[in-house]
Amino acid sequence: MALKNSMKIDHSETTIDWAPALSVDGIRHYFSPTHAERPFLVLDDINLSIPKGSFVSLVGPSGCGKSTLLRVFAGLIIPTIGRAMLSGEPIEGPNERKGMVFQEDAVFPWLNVQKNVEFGLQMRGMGGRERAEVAREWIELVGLKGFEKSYPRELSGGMRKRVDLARVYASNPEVLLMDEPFGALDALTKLRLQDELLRLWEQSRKTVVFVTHDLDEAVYLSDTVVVMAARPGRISSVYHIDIPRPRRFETRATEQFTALAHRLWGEIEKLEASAGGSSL
Amino acid sequence: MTLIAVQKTEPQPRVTARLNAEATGRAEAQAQEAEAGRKFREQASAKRRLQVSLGILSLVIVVAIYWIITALPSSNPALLPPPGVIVRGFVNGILDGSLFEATQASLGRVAAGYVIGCAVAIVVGSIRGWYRIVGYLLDPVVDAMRPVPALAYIPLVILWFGIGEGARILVIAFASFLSCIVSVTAGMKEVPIVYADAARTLGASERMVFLRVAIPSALPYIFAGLRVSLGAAWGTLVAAELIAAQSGLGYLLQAGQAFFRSELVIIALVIIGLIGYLMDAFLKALQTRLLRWSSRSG
Repeated sequence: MALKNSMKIDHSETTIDWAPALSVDGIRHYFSPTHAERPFLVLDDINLSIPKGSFVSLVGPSGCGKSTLLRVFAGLIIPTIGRAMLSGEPIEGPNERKGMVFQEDAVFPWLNVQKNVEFGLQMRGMGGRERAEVAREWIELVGLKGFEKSYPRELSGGMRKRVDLARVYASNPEVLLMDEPFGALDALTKLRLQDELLRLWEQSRKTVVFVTHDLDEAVYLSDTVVVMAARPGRISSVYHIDIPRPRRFETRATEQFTALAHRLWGEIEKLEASAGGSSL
Repeated sequence: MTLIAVQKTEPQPRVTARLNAEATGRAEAQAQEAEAGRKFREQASAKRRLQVSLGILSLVIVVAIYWIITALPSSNPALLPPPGVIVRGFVNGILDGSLFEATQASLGRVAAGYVIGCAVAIVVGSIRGWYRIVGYLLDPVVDAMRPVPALAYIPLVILWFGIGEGARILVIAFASFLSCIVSVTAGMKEVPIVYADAARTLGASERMVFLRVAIPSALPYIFAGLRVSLGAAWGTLVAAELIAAQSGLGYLLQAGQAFFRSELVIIALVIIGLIGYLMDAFLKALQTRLLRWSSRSG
């Protein structure tokens, strides 16, 4: 019965009533048609409100629009209908208030680790000495002390991801948007970086919106998991993950954790079946 | 029933392994590592020696074949000057300063034309490769100009500007521009969008995305363009001097033909080749140094 309490499934009402860091209220977004004659509906009437300081994951089958929704929050996509809101103000474009970590390697290969982490600070006009100081702190926090002068191509994929995390945290955004950041890493590195990210989040308590394919990852990291369905992209359900924090490696072996992951898996399978064949 | 029983009693092969203890054979391993390192270094230097000696060998063979041909009784020394004549001509040319003068005149022209042409190509090429609207505006013009060799503009340039120094530099600048801009534009179009998006979400303005992200990201391509257009500039220079100049290596080629002194032609050819080779080697070294971060720096 403890299981029942940890999972409040809510299919109709997706609003959470604390002051939201990010919100969308009935946005719609169309992609321009490539071959089809009609514009393609990727996000259909999305309502979502994300409270400050929470860790929210977006999961769902391919084509459900989770990455599109994330890019809408980043300001990299302006929705066809409506606007996303950051602390109540409409989002009209990308800027340093909405930091983003991408699945691809986005660390600049022509800058060394130190200069990469300084980039956002430099764009904000911070002076050289202060900038170097802040960057050094974050490099140390992600465990890359001693690699300041290294170029990205001399680092492993996991280390480059750490540089990326340090860079986005150093520029001090209001919210952090992560688009499958660990999707291209090997399994061991991924587990380590998940713990690393949790530690950073527990220290800074910055709002994180995290897109992933990996349901274990979503349950392990999040306060809330938003499940989206495809064609058209829409929110299908919201799971509140009441597993106590701090979460550590042992958490993954608890009955509560495995039951939640299992439950999510079942729902996604059902969504893919009802969408007429899975994308796998 | 018996069959099943037989299968059950069959022994299964098992994986066997010896676990590596922490400190086994440390000294021995170190010696092996040193030995392996020595072997690798030896292999690398042997490879390098082979490369250099084969390069020298091919030069020696070419010279030797030439020597043999000139020594044949049927060979005409006016058309194929013997190596001794060429060396004497070279020494004389250095002593009276005429070779130095010709080289200096050519290098001055190519430097001016190359720098102007590449500078314009980098500015125009990066803007038209990055900003789509500028691309729409300029692509037809640039793409229609590219198939026409820069030398084909010489008659027009002479009509407009006469046969002065400016005209020659203009043609060389044009040749550099046409071959450089292709790579620059391609490089700007190949910039991974994720870099630009990452910079935007770190607070970079569009101007900063262009200057601090797109241009550095395209640098390997820009360098490739600089190397290609150096060859084009050098080649065009010689051709331009063949047609309209009273100094320079191209003029030396033409004078050698006019005065029937074939050794001058061969000396000029060797100098042109050598300088072209040295300039490319210089750019290559610069590229390796500046683009250490890139996997294309080689």
